[in-house]
Amino acid sequence: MTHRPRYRLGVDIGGTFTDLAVVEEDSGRLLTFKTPSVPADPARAVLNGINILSQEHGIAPHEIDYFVHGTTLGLNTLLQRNGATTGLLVTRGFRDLLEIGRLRLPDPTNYYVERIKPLVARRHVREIDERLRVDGTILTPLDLDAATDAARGLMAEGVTSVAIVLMHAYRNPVHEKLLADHLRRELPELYVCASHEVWPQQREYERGLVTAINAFIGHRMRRYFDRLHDDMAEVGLKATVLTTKSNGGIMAAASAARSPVETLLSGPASGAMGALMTGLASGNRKLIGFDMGGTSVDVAIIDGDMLYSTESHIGDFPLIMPAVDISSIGAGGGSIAWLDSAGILKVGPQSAGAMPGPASYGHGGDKPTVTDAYVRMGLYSPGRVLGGGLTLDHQRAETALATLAGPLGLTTAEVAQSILDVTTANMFAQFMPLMARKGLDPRDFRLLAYGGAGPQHAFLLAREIGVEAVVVPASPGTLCAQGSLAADLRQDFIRTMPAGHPNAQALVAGYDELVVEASQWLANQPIAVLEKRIRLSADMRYHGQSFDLTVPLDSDAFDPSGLPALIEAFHAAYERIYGFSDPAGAIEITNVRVTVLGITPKVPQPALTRHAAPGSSPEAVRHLPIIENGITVQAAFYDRATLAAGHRIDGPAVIEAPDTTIYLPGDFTAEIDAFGNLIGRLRAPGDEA
Amino acid sequence: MKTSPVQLEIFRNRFQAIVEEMASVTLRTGFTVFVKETSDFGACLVAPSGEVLAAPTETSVSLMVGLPGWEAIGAFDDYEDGDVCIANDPDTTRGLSTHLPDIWVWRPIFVDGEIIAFAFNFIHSSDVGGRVPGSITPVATDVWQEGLRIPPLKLVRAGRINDDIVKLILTNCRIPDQNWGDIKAELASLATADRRVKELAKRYGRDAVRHGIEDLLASAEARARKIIASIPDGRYSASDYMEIGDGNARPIRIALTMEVRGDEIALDFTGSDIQVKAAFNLPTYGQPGHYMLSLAILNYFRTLDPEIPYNSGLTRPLSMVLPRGTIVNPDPGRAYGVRAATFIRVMDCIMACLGQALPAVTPANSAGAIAIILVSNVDPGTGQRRITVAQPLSGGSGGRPVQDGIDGTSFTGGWLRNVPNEVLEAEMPVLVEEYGYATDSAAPGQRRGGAGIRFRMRNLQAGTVLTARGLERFRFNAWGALGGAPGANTRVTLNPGGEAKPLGQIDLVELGRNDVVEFVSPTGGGYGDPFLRDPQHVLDDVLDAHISADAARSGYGVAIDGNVVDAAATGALRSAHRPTSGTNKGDARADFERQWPETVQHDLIMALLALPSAVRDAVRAPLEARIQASLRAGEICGRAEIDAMIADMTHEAIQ
Repeated sequence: MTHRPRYRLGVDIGGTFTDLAVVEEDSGRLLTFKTPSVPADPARAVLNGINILSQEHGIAPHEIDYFVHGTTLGLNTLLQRNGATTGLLVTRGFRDLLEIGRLRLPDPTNYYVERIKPLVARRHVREIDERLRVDGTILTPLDLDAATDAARGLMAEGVTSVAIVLMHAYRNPVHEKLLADHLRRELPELYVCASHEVWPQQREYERGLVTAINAFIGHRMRRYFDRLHDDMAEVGLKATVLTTKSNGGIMAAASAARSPVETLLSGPASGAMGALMTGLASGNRKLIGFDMGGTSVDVAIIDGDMLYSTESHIGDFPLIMPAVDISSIGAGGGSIAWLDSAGILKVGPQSAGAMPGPASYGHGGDKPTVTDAYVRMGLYSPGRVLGGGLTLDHQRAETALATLAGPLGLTTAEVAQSILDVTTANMFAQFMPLMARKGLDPRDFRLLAYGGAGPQHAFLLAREIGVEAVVVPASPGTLCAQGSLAADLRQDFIRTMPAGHPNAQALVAGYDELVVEASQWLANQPIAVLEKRIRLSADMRYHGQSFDLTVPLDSDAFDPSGLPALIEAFHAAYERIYGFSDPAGAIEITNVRVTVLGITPKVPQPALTRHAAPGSSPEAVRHLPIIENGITVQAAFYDRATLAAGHRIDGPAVIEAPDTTIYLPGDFTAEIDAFGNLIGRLRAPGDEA
Repeated sequence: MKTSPVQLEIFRNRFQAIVEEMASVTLRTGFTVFVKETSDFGACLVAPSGEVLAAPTETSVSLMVGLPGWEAIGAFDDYEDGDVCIANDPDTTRGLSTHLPDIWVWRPIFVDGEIIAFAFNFIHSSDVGGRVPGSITPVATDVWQEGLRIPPLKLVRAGRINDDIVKLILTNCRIPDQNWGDIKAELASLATADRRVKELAKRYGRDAVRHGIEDLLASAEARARKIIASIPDGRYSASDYMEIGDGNARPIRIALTMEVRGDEIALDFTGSDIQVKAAFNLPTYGQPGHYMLSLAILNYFRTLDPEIPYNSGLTRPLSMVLPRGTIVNPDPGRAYGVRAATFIRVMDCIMACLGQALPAVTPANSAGAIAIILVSNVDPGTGQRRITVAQPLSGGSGGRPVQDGIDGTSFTGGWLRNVPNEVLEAEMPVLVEEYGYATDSAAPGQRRGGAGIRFRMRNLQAGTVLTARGLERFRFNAWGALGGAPGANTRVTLNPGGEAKPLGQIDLVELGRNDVVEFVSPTGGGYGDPFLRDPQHVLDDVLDAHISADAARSGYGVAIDGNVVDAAATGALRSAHRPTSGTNKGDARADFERQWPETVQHDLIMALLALPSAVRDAVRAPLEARIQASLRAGEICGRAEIDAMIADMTHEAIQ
């Protein structure tokens, strides 16, 4: 054989299943499958998957040249609060940095509200004698001996991981560096992270929090990455292990072991990157990613490019590091329908999750869920076997819905319809303010539906929010893994600027330092890239305001003559987003930012090989009654594998695929594009079905 | 009800989306520091009747439900599509606005020629003119000193803005650009509401939406009544004081009798003090269910029934007696700037009444004071005066039936965000030496109260001016419940490490270079006998340094030996303890009321209220001095005696 096939492997380790996606580099041909996750030993599932790959699909580990993996281990460790016993070393006077946070109560109207419990117990906080002034000069020198004794004391109390957060370390890391280096030398068994290493941005709580999270999950993540590395070497997989990041990029697993906090939102970020990739392939740059899972919908927005946020949340915690802008809406397929004290039908936020799952899963769940409503509506052909071997039990769905039918005085079909209507209203209520906060109008966007349940509900929501079209990509179930395989190396850097009027010298120095750091980071990544890209941006605001706008610079280096253009760009951006600006207003630049990208080789997006006459109708597999707006109608059921580019489908219709079910309501029409995307639109009034 | 339960939930969600979107638009585009730093703005949808039909819960202040929308709406005989009205004046809006910095706007939403709802919005503007920058000063004696008064005006008529009004408003403010930015933000919020409600009416039909609005209000009312019906019938009374320096020796008394009968609540403020010649008057205009009087009860509904629709239907079962001329319903023209202090004390009294009616579910009283610490000085670079929020200062909440109190903040002002100290130091020449919970500040209780915050700051540039308006609880304490200890007092100290000097209530203090100011915020009361607190929880508080080992011993009867509880010594301490029960209002109050018995205060207030307002102000101070003399002499001082003194004094005055 002269030309051996080359493969890329993407692995996404979820709570229940570990998804594998393998792409053949030359053709773009995609193979995907699932294997059960092993929560106690997550690397085990990866190994199992690789064995399946070689035994059942004939792809040997050494044929894999490129390996990206994403894991929810860090996220779950944080959410389940089972990370390391963590300590905090903090400047004297600020022991309650993590306790107080930003003060505001999660719900100020509820007398039984609870503050978010910090990751570090108050007894494991030690105040350190040291202090820097705001300009980074030393006011009180570091007492290294006392600080080391404090760390020893914490270890004696069971602390295994420690976060160092000193005032103004973003300006001058001298004390943090001294202390971190010293502790690593003196106490090698202690996992140490310092705030300037994790994310050197002004704001002690937010910087301290990401540092504490890093310390809390770091121990476990490092162990996991070591284990994965050893396992891969053992089976002969020689490709560098890469891991996905919250910012939609990838980095070497070794880097992730040092800074695991950067991976927390990598799952949804990869999905969003997959959505971006799909959109770009079909020439669409305004997309709303609609990823509906069991407990929530993750919404990502692509407006020309991916939107990033520095105000993400993980559970209750704010995250200031740049991440793909994902908002979570509390409504999923497993969301439970219930009656409140006044007999009003509510859906969620409680979810039946994966276990026991919706009643129709037959795993012991008896509460009616959104999925059970889909089943009662008739969206699942009787006897259909879903991905993962699941068959939905129509009778159990009926029984569960009947528990609400009596009190509501409705039939189970009406209950199902009501559950979907309330779910749509819930989604709408959370979705619209989200768009408003970004200054975006949904009518300019397409809704790109993925995740298990996304394509079932996307059209129902689309009708309410008025998007231009709904797109269901060819493989909506594995968009995450596809996104991770298309991702570039990416790292963000930040430098806080002195307060007051923009200082050209400080800007030049700040950008120069960051560009050097960024280039070093990329050079240290152990894989070759096609191209290095540097992107500069600045956080700006009108003097006296307390929130920033991040304005991109259109060059990859900054010189002082560019300052007027930057200020001009800020006014323009402000005008665009807020509808007015103040060209005479004084400007402040709070932070400068640099992002480095290492562009990786891309695999072509395969086009559909089947073609049909434009506008022709595919052959329905069967016709079955479904309930729509409370009325029983006949719907055509299609097998997605038989659809060809050019086909047109009129609702009501259901399109079945191994990884999803698409529900096209009666007032929608859809067509299949060259890449196999299904694109649906509301029929104009008067347009005959 | 004309709307099905399912459709009602859909409407509730849709209206909630609209008001959250309004709030988002305001937050995103508003200009003043109060919007972002302290969330002091609001947005809501109002039914044609003037009742709030939906209000945001995720951003902004929780002070919308209960606003008297009918007063604003009724200020004009007719409306056209595209009209926007504006006002900030408490007197001519009859309690819609409660101080001049709140600039309110409202807009009718027409569907097929009929008004289906109104959108309302307000922003606390950084300045509306008046005698001081920022417009608020406690020493203002009437509303004209507090800035520009805008009665209800049509800012926009059928889509055309009235530039004359804009010019007049902006000419009278110190920061016209910011104010204009704020007004534009408000107009954007109203425009959003207009578009969304019209879309909703198109989707579901005008009549369905109209019925949905009526039914949402009715549904909130029915659920509120159900909760009230579960409160034991009875009359519950509470009174408390504000210490504000209004020139009078006697603090301002707030008195409340809450009567629960069936599914209704009557709040009777008879016995509350007369209005003052300082900026603490709360202009409610006697509006039933006024938002500044009902928050404690609305929160109570939402705590017990988190799914309850959040609208003015909740206030329908409430009635109020607000005697004219009192601090809670002053005559027109009074000063209102710092009325939040009064609102907080009213909330304390309501919580105390709820505590009597429902001891098993009501928290002990919270700290009862909020102040925004502002620092200002001249920027040596530009020569311009700059001002910034140093920190909002609030105290811990009261202990709760099954939880400890919240540390560092509470339910009045629980929406406040703090300022990163690194940002503060970058913006102002100050050095923050400490920002954290004060050890041993939490009130002991079986469920302890929340801790207070210690904030200590060194000034690095001569001439820095510090203000902290509205700070209270220097003298009296938040009440402990069911045997819990009362909360701790506020302390403000200049140079605590050197020649310490207590500052007390500060309006305005100029600091020298290297002067240090330390604030310790007050705390809420404890809940239940502290000697019944699980010794393990006491140990945890000691290990977490919330309390000292000494305080564990004296306050809780728990002896700590190293890192463990000394069970034997604890048993001995606890068996020697006499159980505590009931409400503990603190020693300062008992001392004060020996000097000023509540009955005498009540008679005094009623006697003064019977006088014409002008006479009242003149008579008050000498009358109180005479009463004190008479009480010290051991004489009886009832209403008859007080009336006689007044007759005597007015007679003297005439002669």
